[in-house]
Amino acid sequence: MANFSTIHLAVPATSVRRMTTLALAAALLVLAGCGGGSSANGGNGNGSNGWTAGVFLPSASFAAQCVTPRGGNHPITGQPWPDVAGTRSDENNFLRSWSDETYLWYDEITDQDPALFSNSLAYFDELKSDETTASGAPKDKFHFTYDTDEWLQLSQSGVSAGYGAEWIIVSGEPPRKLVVAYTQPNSPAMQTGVDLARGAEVLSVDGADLVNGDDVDTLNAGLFPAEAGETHTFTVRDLGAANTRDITMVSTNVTATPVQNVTTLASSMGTVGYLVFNDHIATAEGGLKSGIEQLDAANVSELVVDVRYNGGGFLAIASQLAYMIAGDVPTAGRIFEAIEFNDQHPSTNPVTGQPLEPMPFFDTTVGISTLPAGQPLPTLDLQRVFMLTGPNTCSASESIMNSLRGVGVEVIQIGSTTCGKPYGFYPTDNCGTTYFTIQFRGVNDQGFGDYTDGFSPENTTSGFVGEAIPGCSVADDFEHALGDPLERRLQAAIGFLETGSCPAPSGVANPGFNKVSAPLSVTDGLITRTPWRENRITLVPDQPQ
Amino acid sequence: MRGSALPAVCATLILAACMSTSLQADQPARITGSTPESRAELQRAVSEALHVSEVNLADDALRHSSWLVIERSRVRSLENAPLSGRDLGRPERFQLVVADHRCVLVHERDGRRYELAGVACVTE
Repeated sequence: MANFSTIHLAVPATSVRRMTTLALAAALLVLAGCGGGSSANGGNGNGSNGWTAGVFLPSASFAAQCVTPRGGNHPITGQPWPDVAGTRSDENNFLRSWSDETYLWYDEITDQDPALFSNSLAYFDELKSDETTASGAPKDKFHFTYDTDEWLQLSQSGVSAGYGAEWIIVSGEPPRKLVVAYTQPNSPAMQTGVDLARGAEVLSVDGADLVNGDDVDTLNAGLFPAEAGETHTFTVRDLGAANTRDITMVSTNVTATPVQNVTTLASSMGTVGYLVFNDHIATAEGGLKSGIEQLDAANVSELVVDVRYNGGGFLAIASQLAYMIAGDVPTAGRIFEAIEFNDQHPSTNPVTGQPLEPMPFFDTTVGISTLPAGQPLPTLDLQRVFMLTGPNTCSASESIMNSLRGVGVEVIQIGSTTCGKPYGFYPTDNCGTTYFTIQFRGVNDQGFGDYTDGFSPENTTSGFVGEAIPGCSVADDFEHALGDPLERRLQAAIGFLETGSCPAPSGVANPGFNKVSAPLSVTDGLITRTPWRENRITLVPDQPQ
Repeated sequence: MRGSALPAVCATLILAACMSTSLQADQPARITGSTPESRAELQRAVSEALHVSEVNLADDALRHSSWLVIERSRVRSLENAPLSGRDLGRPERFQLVVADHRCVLVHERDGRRYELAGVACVTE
């Protein structure tokens, strides 16, 4: 029986359907890969059809053979879906063969008869490694599916329905705590009379008690509006306030500002630049370029990059920022990140069919934002950088750290352990479900990419320490604004660069899977973002994954 | 009803896609003013270009830049990171230009052109 006293983000254990960002090219490739023909039962058919452990037919021979073929057209290409009538065995066999071909740890999958599974999602859940990392965490934390129709939804870069208040769940168990992590400029959250700011706590939504109540539907509907134009009321307590207040917000299509709080601070070591980088969306290219130009003009000699809430995105953006930090000398001719597939594909990308080419450090704009391609990027030419991190620091954000370390730039980590995601996917549709299975690993110029337990400041004492790097373990601090010199992590960074010493360690070591229930001042939380209605609070069993 | 109920304006847009105006004569432009009608027109053009029923656009799309960037809508996982997080691809881009005194949206990937009827724009 599920424990219904806890709220989590909505992530059912086996049938979770999620969505991600993927370029059109990948979608086209997915389609090409799914260009199925007639059924190919036999060979690695299943059960009575002749399943033999360890024997696999090409996944293409099972692709797009569906229990329920789709009509209509692919929403991106406009071409008809390739689906033809098939069986559950066909769908399962596709997954089995595709996993054997492309899963990074294909040789750690326990080959099971696909005929034994009447649900392809359940079968897919079996098609992964059951190994654990040194911390005891699952080696594969990123194995999931999403409904293809929803996954293919498109938005203007950074635009989503909401209020412009980025919520963070500090405690998912009663008494729950959900606060504002940061806000987007020119959003409903910033309007006069609303004036939400970091650290403000949400106590109720449309009359539903968030702290101890169980009206999750009302909470979700209010916190994560599905579209613009919805009106919801909230009872909030501002940071430091004794009393609560009621506010009403109307959701709009909010445009995210991924680079914020670009500023400088004085220190005994010279001028320190600081910027908040929250999202590797396409429009971040312009924000980062102008931000670094601003800091370059201010002659900063040190830099603090705040990626505590940055879960990644376009890898090219990460490459650009790494270049702008390090400059030409250490990056020229070096690898930002190379991707490695399983040992069946040492030199060719099995999805694109192209030779594996590492990503360099991009020194110009690359034409993915509102800026034209080919504009030179500014550089700070720093030999070290301070990165403010937490459990929401993930993927491409970790690539910045790893790539800089790979070319000899010192990365000093202030905060909590990062999420540990040196991996990537080519999300692949089959029969209306898009499957995400880890297919490649990113490594730096030194060939290092083994940080599945995340990067941890070396003085971390709480829980398991991931890849330890110099720095200070410091919990998030919702009692100060981002960029405030008194904000705990920024303060620790300045202190470290001036004295080389850290405050007493306080950061969280177990990224993403910890349940925290502690005062705001001594913990980290899980950021929630609202571009899509899946990112919700819900009542689910205690162990969501 | 995705892709099955294209508005009548699409016929116009398809014709517009065949316009022969030279790209070299195009001047990057921004939308001036924004009305429900002009936003709907932009929505129709982008949706038509990308073969989708709807794209979530900001109310001020193309008012501050001639470029419009379209990505997959983003969702975070339990860890609240983007589900991919290490995206090797590129987004779709459109540029608004003035051509022969008309506001025309150009899809960068394939060069197709979509006249935005009833939309006011000025060169950057």
